[in-house]
Amino acid sequence: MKKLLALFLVLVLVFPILGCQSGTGSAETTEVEPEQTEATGERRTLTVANWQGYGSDAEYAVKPFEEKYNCKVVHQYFDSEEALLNMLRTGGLGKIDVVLPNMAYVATGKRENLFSPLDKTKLENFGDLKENIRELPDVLDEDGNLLGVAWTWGSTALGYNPDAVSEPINSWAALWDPANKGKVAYFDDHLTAIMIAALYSGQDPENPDLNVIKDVLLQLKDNTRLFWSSYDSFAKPYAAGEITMGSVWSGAATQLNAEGVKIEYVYPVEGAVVWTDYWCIPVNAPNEDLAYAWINWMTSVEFQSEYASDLAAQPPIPANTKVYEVLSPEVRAALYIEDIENIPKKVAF
Amino acid sequence: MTKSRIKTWLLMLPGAGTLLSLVLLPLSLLLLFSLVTGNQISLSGALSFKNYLNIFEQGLFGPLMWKSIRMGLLVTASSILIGYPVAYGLAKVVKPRWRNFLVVMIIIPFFTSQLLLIYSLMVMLQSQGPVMTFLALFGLDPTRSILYSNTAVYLILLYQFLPYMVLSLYSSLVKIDDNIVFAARSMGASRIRVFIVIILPLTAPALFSGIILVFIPVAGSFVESNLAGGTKGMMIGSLIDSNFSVSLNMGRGCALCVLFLLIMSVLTFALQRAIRYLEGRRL
Repeated sequence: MKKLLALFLVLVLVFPILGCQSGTGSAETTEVEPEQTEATGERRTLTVANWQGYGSDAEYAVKPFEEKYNCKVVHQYFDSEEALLNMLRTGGLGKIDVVLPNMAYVATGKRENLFSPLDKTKLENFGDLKENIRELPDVLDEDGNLLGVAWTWGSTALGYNPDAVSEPINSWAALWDPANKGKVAYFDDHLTAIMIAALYSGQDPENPDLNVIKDVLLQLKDNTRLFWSSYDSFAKPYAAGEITMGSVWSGAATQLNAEGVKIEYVYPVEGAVVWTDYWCIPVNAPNEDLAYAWINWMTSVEFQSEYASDLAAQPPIPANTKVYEVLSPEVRAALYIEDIENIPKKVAF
Repeated sequence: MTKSRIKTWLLMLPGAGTLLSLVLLPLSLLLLFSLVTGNQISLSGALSFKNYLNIFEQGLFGPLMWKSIRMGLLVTASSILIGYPVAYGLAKVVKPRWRNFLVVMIIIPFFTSQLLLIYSLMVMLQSQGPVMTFLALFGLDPTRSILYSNTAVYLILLYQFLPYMVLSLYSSLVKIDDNIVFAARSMGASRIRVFIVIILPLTAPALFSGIILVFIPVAGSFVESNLAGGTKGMMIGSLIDSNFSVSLNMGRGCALCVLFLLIMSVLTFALQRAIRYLEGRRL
């Protein structure tokens, strides 16, 4: 009995230590073993960390790159920005070459020294990137070095069914309007939820009084039918007519319209939430040169225009402004690029 | 002497080993990690009861736990009420050659994935779906539906877990000798009396396993309430899930699991006592 107990205690002590090394498990990664260097000894592997199905793992993204640089591209997926950071904190440094965090999480990673400063002279398309997002304080370190390269951006604004309302709406107040009780869907993300509530209630979205926000959100809850968290959980009830309006991603509206479900996407007078994702190179990246090549390919007009035109893939708006000239007017309209410069107030993260 | 002792140990190894590695070890890890703060699971930090204090300060656990227990009791009670007549019909009324076919019909929904079942039921219940279209015949507005409410969650859970109750009651009812029932009836016992004095005590163990199979998973469910519960659907399972997948606070998630486990164990124990009492009333 004593022996069993001893064995048990040993196991209890050993497992957490093992678990500790192999990560916390929360970063849901579909880890693919990097392929061993082949017999030729030349074919290298570039490890990219991104959301699944977010452009970079499409065939038209991976194949041309692999052929041009004679390498293999392997994706590691994360399912939340927190998981991305955890991936780097728990053993990802030294293995992952290039990663795509949201702006707010570049800032978090910066505080923990997760990303290397980038050499702008190696970034071929930097000059063409949208000026007001490419060098924001969040993606610069203390010495003014660039930490991330803007790749895509998009917005979360108001989407509604034009057939369900008597006249066009252009204010967040519609979601709080008792007339729409039970017809509203709200995006289940803490950052966006608070920012929109702040815009509606006239608070500073970057620094709101959370007690006010709480009351405002509780009022909204009475009006709201459901909280959505993925494209499907918004699109299905919307298509069925369960809900007629809500806070929604520009990309979701793009895809719904591409699939023949009518939805009007507007930037409300109070303002909308805008986000940007950046390619970063984690410190100790094993293939830094390939990572630069990857970022250059990802920000190129050639790739970005192809991705942006793939409307059913829910594309965000490309950061390379040269792409806008190439895109057809239909695609430009479908991506809601035109009116975004006219949003009265933009809250970015 | 020693040889036989070794033999005994070796014989115990498969059973005891399974129990140790699949029950005791994970449970102790759960307990251990519930004392670790934050998401970095390691033993380097100090152990504390911070997570538990935090949970009670937050005040969400009590109401959500109570709600989950209520949902569990409601679904279990409904499945008993529906389950007994169905199982009785299957075991005693239906002709034996039809029985297997009907039992298979009850099991068939299990052949599809649970998630698919939930989604199909959501399609059934959604606005302008089959159920609402049917109710529209009686003057209801087909664009309004009960989806995204606790009623929808209740219906989906009942649909998912009713077969467990029916099957466990059926397996016990089918073994009851018809002659016992006939004897009681011929001696003048009413149908209700037959049920209370004969059938209930004889099927008590099956009832207990049915209750366990329905009550515990229902009280711990979160997928149904997340998908179909709307804004007020949250259950204790949702809170645990969000600690692991959204706020990435594994320590607090583990602490919530421990509390849930404790409460469910106490309830199960009480239930077992109640069922023993039922059984004890057997003639």
